[in-house]
Parts: sequence; structure tokens; C-alpha cells
Amino acid sequence: MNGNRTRLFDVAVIGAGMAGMATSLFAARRDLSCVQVGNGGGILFASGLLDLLGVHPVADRRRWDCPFEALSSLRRDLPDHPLARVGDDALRAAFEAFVSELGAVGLPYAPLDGANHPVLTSIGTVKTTYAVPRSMMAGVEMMRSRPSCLLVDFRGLREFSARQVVAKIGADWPGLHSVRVEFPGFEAVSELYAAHLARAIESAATRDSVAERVRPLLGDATAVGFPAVLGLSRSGEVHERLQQSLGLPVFEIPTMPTSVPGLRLKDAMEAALAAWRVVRHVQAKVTKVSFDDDVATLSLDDVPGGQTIRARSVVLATGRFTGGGLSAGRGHVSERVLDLPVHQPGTRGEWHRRDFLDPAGHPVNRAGLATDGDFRPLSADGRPAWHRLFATGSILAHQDWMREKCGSGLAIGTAWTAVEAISRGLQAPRKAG
Amino acid sequence: METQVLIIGGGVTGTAVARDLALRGVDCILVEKDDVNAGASGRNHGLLHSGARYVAHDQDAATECRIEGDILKRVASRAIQDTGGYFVAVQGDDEKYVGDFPGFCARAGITARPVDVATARAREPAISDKAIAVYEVPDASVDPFRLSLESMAQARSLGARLMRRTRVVGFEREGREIRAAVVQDGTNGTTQRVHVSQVMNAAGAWAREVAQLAGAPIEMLYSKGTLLVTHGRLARRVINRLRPPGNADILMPGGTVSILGTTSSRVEDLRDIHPTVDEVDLILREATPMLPPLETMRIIRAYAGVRPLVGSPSGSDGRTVSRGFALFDHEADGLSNFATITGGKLTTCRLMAERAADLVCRRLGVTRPCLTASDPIPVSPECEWTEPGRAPRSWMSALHVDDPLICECEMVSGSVLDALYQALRAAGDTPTLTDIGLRSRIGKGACQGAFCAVRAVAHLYQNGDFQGSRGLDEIVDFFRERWGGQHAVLWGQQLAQAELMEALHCGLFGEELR
Amino acid sequence: MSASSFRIAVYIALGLCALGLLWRLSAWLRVRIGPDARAIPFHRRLASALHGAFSFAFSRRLPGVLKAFLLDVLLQRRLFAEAKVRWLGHLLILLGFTALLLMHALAALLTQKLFKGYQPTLDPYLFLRNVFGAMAVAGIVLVIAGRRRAQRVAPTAHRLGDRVFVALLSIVMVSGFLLEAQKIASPAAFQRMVDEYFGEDISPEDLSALKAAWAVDYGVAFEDAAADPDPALLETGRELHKDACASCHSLPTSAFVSYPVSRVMGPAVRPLDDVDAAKWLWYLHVFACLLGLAVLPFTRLFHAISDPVSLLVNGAASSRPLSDAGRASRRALAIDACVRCGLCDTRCSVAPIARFMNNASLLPSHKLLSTFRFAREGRGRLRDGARYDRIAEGAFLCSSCGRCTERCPVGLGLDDLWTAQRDDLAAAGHPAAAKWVQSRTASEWADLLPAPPGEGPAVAPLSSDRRTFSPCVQCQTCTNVCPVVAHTAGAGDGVDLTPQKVMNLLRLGMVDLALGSRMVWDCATCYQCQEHCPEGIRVTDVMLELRQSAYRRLATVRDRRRPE
Repeated sequence: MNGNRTRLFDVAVIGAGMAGMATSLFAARRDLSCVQVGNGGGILFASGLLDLLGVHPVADRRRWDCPFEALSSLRRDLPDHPLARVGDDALRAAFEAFVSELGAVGLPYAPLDGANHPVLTSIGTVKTTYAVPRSMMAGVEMMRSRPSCLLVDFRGLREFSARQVVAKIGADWPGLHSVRVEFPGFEAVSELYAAHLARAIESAATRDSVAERVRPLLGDATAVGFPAVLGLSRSGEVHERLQQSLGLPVFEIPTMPTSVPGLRLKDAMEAALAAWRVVRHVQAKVTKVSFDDDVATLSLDDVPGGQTIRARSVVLATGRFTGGGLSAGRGHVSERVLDLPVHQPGTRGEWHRRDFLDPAGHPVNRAGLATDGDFRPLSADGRPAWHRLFATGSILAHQDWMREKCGSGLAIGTAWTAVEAISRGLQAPRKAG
Repeated sequence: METQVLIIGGGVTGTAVARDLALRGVDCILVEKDDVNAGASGRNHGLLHSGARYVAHDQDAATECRIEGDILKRVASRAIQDTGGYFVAVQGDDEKYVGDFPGFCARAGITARPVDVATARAREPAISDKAIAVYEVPDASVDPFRLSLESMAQARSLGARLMRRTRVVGFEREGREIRAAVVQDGTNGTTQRVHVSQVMNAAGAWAREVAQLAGAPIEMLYSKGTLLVTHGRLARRVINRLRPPGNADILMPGGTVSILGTTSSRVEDLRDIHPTVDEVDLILREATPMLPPLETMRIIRAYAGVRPLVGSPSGSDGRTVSRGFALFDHEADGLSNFATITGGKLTTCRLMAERAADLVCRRLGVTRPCLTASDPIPVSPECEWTEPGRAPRSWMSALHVDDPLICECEMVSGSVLDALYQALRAAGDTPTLTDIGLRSRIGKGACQGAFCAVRAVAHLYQNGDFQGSRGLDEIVDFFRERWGGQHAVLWGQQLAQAELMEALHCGLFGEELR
Repeated sequence: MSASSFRIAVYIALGLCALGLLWRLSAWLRVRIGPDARAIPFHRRLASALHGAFSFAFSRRLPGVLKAFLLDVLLQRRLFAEAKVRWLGHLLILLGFTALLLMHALAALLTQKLFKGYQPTLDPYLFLRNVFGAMAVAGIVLVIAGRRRAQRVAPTAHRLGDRVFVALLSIVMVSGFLLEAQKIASPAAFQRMVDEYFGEDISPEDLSALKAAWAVDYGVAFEDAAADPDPALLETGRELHKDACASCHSLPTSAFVSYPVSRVMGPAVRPLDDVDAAKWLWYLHVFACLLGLAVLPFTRLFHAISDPVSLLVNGAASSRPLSDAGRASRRALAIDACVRCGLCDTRCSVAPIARFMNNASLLPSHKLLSTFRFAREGRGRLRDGARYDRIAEGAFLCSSCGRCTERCPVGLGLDDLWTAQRDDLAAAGHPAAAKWVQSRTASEWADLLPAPPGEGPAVAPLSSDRRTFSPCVQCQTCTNVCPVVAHTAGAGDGVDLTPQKVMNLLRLGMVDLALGSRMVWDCATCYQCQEHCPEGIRVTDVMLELRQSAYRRLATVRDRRRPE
């Protein structure tokens, strides 16, 4: 790693959540040399489903079957929304690229068809999403046609009760049934953890044993749903084999974090970045960034005494409060790495609504970094803080990804657009002034 | 329905009255519009006052606290942790008050032992290095939920009946006598008549409303107090500020957490009582000079209760109004079998009940003596789960193969959930997640229900206890209740926690769209 | 000293050295470390060693040994990978010292016979001697400096023999240079040479001319030397020098160390001549050399034998697992092959704890010595007392991360030694704390292990600081990535607490319940949890700290030697 001290990177990405991963990936694909700093914690919270835009306006709880129609409505209503600044073509291209990269490292997604899909969640609600992992796609088809279908859960996996899902939507889906089985090998423990099951089921013996336990319970089912524990690095193979041995389509149901699809996504993104030769500092935090005319210098704390990285452009993809990009004191919200100005409600009393589930959403969720059209964060004087400093993902202001169901779209779309701008800027000589 | 005594209000006073009457062999029904301790009884410090807080301005109240505190430590020992307490003055506090304090305590018969500051700080490192005087007093902490639940359990074992989620909507009066009360079931809206000989209004802050229904006016003030819950326990003892009573004077050890408060502000409307951002900030601002670690402490929750104060206002915040209790016989209002007991403090709830029961018994012609000061409250297994740390200890000592934890933060397992569910069920109730939350530590930890509510609901569905959408509706109710205490403390790590909760329940599960 | 008495001294030194070597080498078959080794008699180990050597001789493993000899023994590639400065220092000492030994010390046996016209005062020999000497001295300085730097991280163990060796080596080098410097500038030495070469056949004029030349060109400190000699006289002297002396004496500037030293000595030279300093320096030089030779087996220099043997045995090792006897001997060899370079200490994952607990017995270099002492002194002498406790603490707080073995520049199988040490301790009535811990449940331990007075931030800085765990958002990532939980659950026997439950108990102020938990004691310290934690909580570090706290408390429980 000593070489990194003198190497000048084209792009330094701070953050390793969905936005940081997407930004690094897109930059590397454009042959920009890229270094990424930050641990991969944030992406672990992902569900594996890649939303584009599902709900708008949130106060009306309006769901959309077509995300691009939702986008045109969003562009009219919320012109400052980060997604309103990403074109449809860019979004399509970005998602295609992202999903194909994941497929290349063994995490296949169902082909994108421009439409949103309904996905059954582990508590029995239906989520609207855009890109669906192949292992969950049969569930989407079942949701639409609602034939006879069996949901399986494992005793000890505390967050998921198949019986609950059936109780919740069984009235509208008469052919839906549930069974609970013991996970082979884990009969003697009371609490199961999804990742452990996912690793265990990669062994053929365990997989066959699961199939044997489920087979007599199939009844007239035409498909079988499992909690999302069907393998980690070899999930494609596990899914395929399980379908073969049960002789029916099998689908996964996304579960609470930390979920196996989140771990898969993390592993897959790491593999993709490695393939694209992105240099990563996983156990490091950026303690300081200094800028001169053309080069930014990032100070890291991963080795005693610290080390520095030099880059021609910097992307902040540090996320929000859970990710650590924003921090909130009792008085106001601040940006953690560069102390950039944060667009935010006036006082803490205005941050949250009195009802957690208020459909209008909490105003603090729309706090964040205000940027120009290239996603360059603005300093207090309204001009870009540095000519090649960008921000991507949930740290951006004027969006509420949790309510709008646009988290991945935000990360992937803004990453794509920012990388395009970086690429343009690095090719063109810097204009005077 | 018919009973000798109808008790209105299931707080610490109402349940104590039920216990008192039951011990004297009097048949009673307790109606509670919500749940046990749903009002101020469950929204206070949980401080068993030594009385030292009142020595300067109300010697009687101080002495009363001392005597009642000793009784409760004896009869309700499981609900009480004899933590001891410190009174701490810091630089800038009123030195005359500090100087007078030991004398006042002596006069009220309260032991106040001076402790040198270094020793006190060694024992309680949270105390500021700017402390100038420390006294040790016999304060203790009391779990008001356990106290009320155990009192009620004893009363029920002696024949008393509890009707939760039942509201009194009217009285049928004949002359000076109330013949029946009309009560309404809050779940399905049905009403029924309860024929009564005597009515005891123990509705706390709502006592004025109830008395009005009976045609008896009471003059009452409402003082709202807000408290904060810290992420971990900051001190072993009760830490009081040694100054004339003011805001944020007391830090209580609440088992695994600390509880800091309170504020006092006059309110007129009892609906929609919730802690505000300004109150939270005021508490931290006021308390930090005595307890500097609060500046960076993660606050997981705030809650607010309303103190019913009886008497006329002489100050703006209600703090100067007597904290003593009032027992109205309403004879002057033309009522012969209706009485109101209100005001007072958690520490004196037994005494209030004794006086109230004395009045009722006199009216009924019952001559049996009060036994509540001498007979300890017996153990009720289903009441022990409100105690912080009880669930983890029990779970760790058994380590059942099939007893997964439902609430990880407070380590409450499935068997506890089942036991509470079954106990409520056996009493003819339809238990909700919120009911179980009140009787255990579920949802009281850092995640404030984000993860455990999902596990609890999955567990209850799996048991067949929940059908249809009910579990998800209950998650929403549970969150609504928890959020009321959260939204004013959302900064720092707790905001990150809340964001994760929203990412999960809105981002993934879309619960706001239902 | 006469030639014969010198020879006698050499023989005595050689004899002592040989006896010492025999004793030290036999230790590889005698010293028993670990209960398994104690069951194996000497003759079986001897047989095993002979068998190993024999089977090697008829195997195809020679290339492996040659490779090991070249890369590991000569080029020291392992040291190079770990510590460049010390590698350079070591190489300089090795080359310089060996070259001096061969060219200078064994001149009569080797150099004189190989190179006609060898004279110690003639170039290139004069120059090379200085080069080799300077290399050795520079090497010593570099090694000491490198060691000092490592010491700042962790204090490395040392033995008396280490210091003796460094002291003797330094004496040999310094006395050698001083002797040479004294001889260069000494008028007495000049006079002796003139007497030996010319006898009476030199005129006073020629002598003064020669003296003038030597005073100027060689810096001999004649009492009557003119500051500015007559050029004609100097010219004559130089001519004479060319005829008589030059064939044996190169210019002293070739002695680029000794000559400047002689210039510095300047006016002190004549007084030193008066006390025959050259003779005494020679005695010192030779005595230090012979003493070094005599005690060689008991100094650090023994590693010149033990290390190559160890490395070559590694290189020759077949893929088959070692026999018990072979393993026992390898352990004994490892004790001798350790040079206490301390690189293991700087890499040790519990080094920060050692510093914090002020117990160096946690560090590998110290543990190696305590392992040996335990084996040598027997169990009786160590059984009781504070020293024993500290050694046991070191043995059982080891996280078994294997970094010491991985990084050892001489390729010692340290992890096997630590296992043997723990078994020894267990056999001596002090079983592994983890074993103890499993004799009761965490809940029972919580009652049995009261917090000793003074516990708190001072001894448990992480677990007693709420900032450590207050960022926890209950996501359970730590548990999901924990191989210990996964493995034990899959084996049908779950751990009692998951990592995130341990964090929770800290928040609940119920750390007592965690101390005796299997999670804390089974933790593999793989750091997966810590590396994955989205909130950056030091989960693994907390586990290790809890293990220490528990260990301390265990040590206070009186009946700890009697697990049920």
C-alpha cells in the first residue's frame, strides 16, 4: 500500500455504502483510477432489492407501477430532488451497468423491464421495487398470479414467521400456506442467524436435507418461498439446485437487516471493485481533506501516524446519520468530513413529526447537502465548495429515500451522473477562474 | 354488574385502594380507561423520597415521606431498590440553602450524613468536580409498575376485579346517591351499568373530569413534568441537586438506565401530553453542571406525565402548590357515596389509599382495620418482568434450548412474552403488544422497538395468538407509543438508531403505506 | 606470550567450546517441553533424530535444504521481509565477522597459504580488514538501533548470554581497531621493525630520513619529528622506504578506520608506548576472542549453529507429520534457535494488553524463556507465587492468533510451543482458564466472581466506557459474521451469548454475566465482527478485554485449581 502515498488517483470515493460502491464502480468502468475509503457496513443494511422510485408524492402514499412515470411527476413537483436531476436514459444505463456488474460476479438480477415489481416482505407487507434479484423473482410472479404457494420458515429465525405472512395476506391469496421446519444441523439451538444458515445451506448435504424436509409438505403448491438464506457466495447455485430437487420454482423473501442479501451485495460489490482494480482502504476513516488547485489530499487514520491519499477529484458518499455522513447535535445537523453547509429545517423541533408513520415523512429526512446539477456540494456562498468535489447518495438534500422508495436509485443515479461530470472535468482543461 | 366499591383509575393510588379494600374484605371493581399506570403513575422518576427534597418548605410532607418510605420498603420490597441517595450542591448553588439543609433534615427526622466530595465522586464518578457539598440520605428507587401490578394482583387474588380499557362515561344518580356508573369498553365501544354502593374517584389528573360527571366540582391544577431516559446507568444512587426544588434536579437509577428530570409547567389540556424539544434541552442544560457526562450521554427516550395538584395557583409552574394529597368526600356537593382522592406523591400512595379506604369503609359500615402497612405484598410471578435486568438474569440462568430472545436490548425471551400473554389472557383480556410492553422491558432499550416489535409479533403469530393484520396494526400502535417518547431526543446516536428504524419499517416494509 | 602458550590457550578455548557445544546440542534431545514430550526417553529422541537424518540423506529433499540454506540461512529472507534495518545489520555482522575470522584470525591457516605474499599491513588485506571491521561495527550499531526501536513497542526478553556476546564482540572490535591505531602511530613499533629489518645495517642519516618519511606518510608520532621536514631528507627517506618497507607496508590511509583513530590518539601514543599498550591491547583482543570461543555455546553466538540447523530442518522437513519424538526435539531446538530478536513481540496481538497489564509474560519472547525455565526448573519451583501466576496469565491470555509463528525470522513453530506450555501448566494443576470457565455456566460465574476492588476504567478501559458500546444499533451484524457462533450453532451446541448480546450486557451494566460466558472464552479473535460493525464498535477488543477481566477475577477465586 506504500505506493498509494505517491500515486495520484483520478477519483477518491469516501464511503462504502451503496452510493460509494456505485460511484467507485462507475468511475473504474470509465477507466478512471479510483480509491475508496470506508468500511462496508452501510451496504449490509440493504435488502438486495434495488428501488428506483416507488412512491410519490409521499403524503398521498401514491405508488407507481412505472418508475419513469413517477420520475416525470417528481421532476415537476420537486425540481430540487436529486433524482429529478438525473435523466431517464442515465438512470436506465446506470441500472443496466450496475446489475450487469453484479451478474458478472455471481449475483444475478432479473432482467430490467422498466417497471416496478411487487415483492412480498418477511412481515407480510408488499414492497414496490425496481430491480429484483433472480432468487426473488419467482415471488414477484406468484404475487401477481397468486396460485397455490407454500411459504417455509425455519424455527429459530426469529424475525420471520411464514404463518404471519399467510395471516396477513391469506385473505387475498387463498392458495397461500405456511410450514415451519427445523433447519438441518441447527436443531439444538434456539436462535438462528440468517448468515449462518446461508453458509450452511451451501453444502449439498444440508441443501438436500432442507429439500427432503420440505418435499412432503408441498401439497398442491406451485412455488415455494423461503426466507432469504439460500446461500451467500454460491446463492445462484443453491437456488438452482433447490428448484431442481423440489421440482418447483423457489423464491426468497427479503428479511430484516442484517440480511443475507445485504451480505451478498457487499461481497459482490467488493468482488466487482477488485475486478476493476479499485484500491480500497476498508478500515480507514478520512480525518481531513485539503484541497489545492488541482489535487485533493485525504488524511487517513488506518495506520499509526496516519497516511495520505492524493486524488484529482473527491466524491462524498458517506450516507446520513446511520452511515456517519451527517451528524446531529442537539442544535443542528452537520456534515462530518468537510463540515459542508447542510440544508436543514430551522430547529430540532421541526426535524420530526409527532407520528412516526406520518405519510408526509419527517422533515429532517430531506436535510442534506445542496448541490449543483453535477452533484457538486455548495459552500455557504452558493458556489461549488471545490471544483471537483462531488456528493452522491443519501447525503444529498431534498429527498426522502425511505418514504419515496428510491434509495438504490438515488445512489446509482447520482453516482452515474457525478462520474460523468468527473470524467468530463478531468478530460477538459480547467477553465481559468 | 354490581360491586360494593367502584374505583376509577388504575394508577398507583387506585390499585393501592383496591388492595386496601380487598384486604378489608370489601368487594371492588377497578375501572381504568387505559392500562395500569398509564398516566402519571407510570411517568415519573420512580423515586421513593426520603423526604429530604421537601425539608425546606414543607416539613409535614417531608416527615410523611420518611414514614411512608420506610413502610413501603418493608411491604413492597421487591418493587424497591434501596439505592440510597446523594444531595449534591455545585459551585454557584445557593450556599445558604446548603448550610440550612442538615438542620432541616434533622427536624424532619431524616438522616442526612455529610460525605466529602472526593469520596462521593469516587463512588459516583458522574458527579461534577465542581461539587461543593454532598449529603447522603435514605432515598430509594421504586418500580411503580411493579408496585401497582403487584398491588392489583393481590387485590384480584382477594376477589377484586380489574377492567382495563374501560372508561366511566356517566353516573346514574338518585338524590344524594350514585346508584350506578355507566362504563364503556374502549375496544368495542359497548357500554354497561355497574351498580355500586360507593365510588372512589382515583383518576389522578383526570379526577376533575370524573368528579364533574358526578356533578361535583374540584379545583385542580395540572403540572406537566418531562423526564429523560439515558442509554445506560449513570449512577448507582439517587443524585439530587442540593438547592431549592427546580428543573432537572434528580437523576434516578432505573435499573439498567438512569432517569433524569423533571420539568414543571402548567398545562390546561390533559390530552396530547408529550415531551417537547425545549423541555429536553432545558433538562440537559440544567442538569449538566451537576452531572457533566450528560453532555455526551446517549438519551434514548423522554416521557412526560401530569401531576394533579389540588389547591389554588400561586405560581406559574405549579411547583409552589402543595404536593400533598387531597381527599374530597363531596358531602358539600350533595353526594353521599362519592369521594375523590388525588394529588400526592408516589411515595405516599399507600397512605392516600388508606385514608380513602377508611372513608369508604366508614360509609359502608366496615370496621376492619387497614392492613396495607403491615402485610407485605405477596409475590406474583407475572409482575416481575418490569424489573430491569430480571429478564437477562433469568434467561442466562436457564438457557433453554427453545427460548429465543425477542427483545435483544433488554434480553426478554419468548417464554416471558408467553407468560405475560397467558396471564393477561387468563384474566379475560385480549393482550396487545403495548400491554406486554408495559409489563416487561420489551421495547425499552436502545432500539425502542424497531427490531423487537417484529420478533414479538412474529412470535405471537406463530403461536396463533394473532390473526389477520392485527400484528402489524399492533406494531404501528406500539411505535406510536414509543415514538411519543422518542421524537424529542433524536440527535446523535439515537437519531442514527431512529433512521435505521425508519429505513427498516418504511424503506423496506412500507408500513406507512398501509 | 610465547607461541606455545598461545597455542595452549587456543586449545583450551577450543576444548571448552567443544564440551559446551556437546552439552548444548544434547539439550535438543534432552529438554522436555510439554507433557507429551516428558513421556519420551532420550534414546527414542536420539533414534528419531538419526532416523530423520538418515531418511533425509536418501530422500529427494536436498533441493529444499539447499534452497533453505541459500535463502533462509545466508540471505535471511524472513528477516528481510520483517525488518530491513536489522536485516542489513545482521548481514553486515555476519559478513564482516566471518571475513575477519577467515582472513585475519585464521590467517596462518588460510590466508597465508592461499595468497602468496600475504602481509597484514599490506593492501588489500589492510584495507579489507578495516572494511570488514567497519561492517561488523556498523552491523552491531544497526542491530542495536533496530532492537531499540522494537523495544518501544514491546520489551523483548534477553538472557545473560546475549549481553555477554555483544560485549565480547564489541571488545574484540574496539580493541582490534585501537591496537592497529596504536601500532600505526607507535615509534616503538617503528623502532622494532627497523631493528628487525635492518639490524645494525642502517646509518643514522638514513634512519632519520626514513623516520621523516614515516612521520609524514604514516603519522608515526616520533618525539623529535620536525613539523616541516627538509624536502631533500624526506625524498631520501621515501626512496629508502620504497626499497625496504613498501613491499610489506601499504600506506596507512588504507586503514580508513584505524588511521583516523591513530591521528586522534596523537599525543597519547608515546605515553601508551611507554606502558607497552600495544601488547596489552593485543592480549585484550586475543583474550576476548578466546573467551568468546570458549563460552560460544552459551552466548548468543550459539544461534550461528542453532538457527541454520533449525532452518535447514524446516527446509528438509517432509510433508509427513512429525513424530512425537521429533516434535519434542523441535521444541527444544526452538528454545535455542530463538535469538530474541523481538519481532514476534512487535507483531503479537496481545502486546497492547501486555503493556497495559504490565505483564511481559504475555509476549512471545518472554513466553519462550518461561517455557524453557518451566521445563528446566520443573514444576515445583514455579508452582506457587506471583511469578507463576504471571507466567500462567501470559500463557492463557494468548489469543492464539499465530502471528508470532508466521513472522518468526528463523521459522520457529512457536504456536506448538505455546500449546505445550499450556499443557505443562495444566498438568501442573493450572488448567486453561477456558476449561475452568466451561465447568460452570456464565450465570454461575457471575455469582462466583465478584468484582475486585479497583476494577474500572483503569483495568478495563473499553468495557467500562459507555462510549465503546453506546453507538450499537442492534443490527446483529457482528453475530451474523461470527464464525464461532456459526460453527457452534451448526455443531448443535450454541454459544451462550452472541457478540451483540455481550455488547448489550455491557450497556445493561451486567458485565458480570458476560465474563464467564463461552462466547468470551471461545472468541477466536478473528476480528470479523469488528471489521464488519457498521458503527465502528471495537467488538473483538472488548471480548479480549473481558477475557482479561475474567482472568483476573478467576485468579482471585481461591479454589481455582480445582475445577469440577
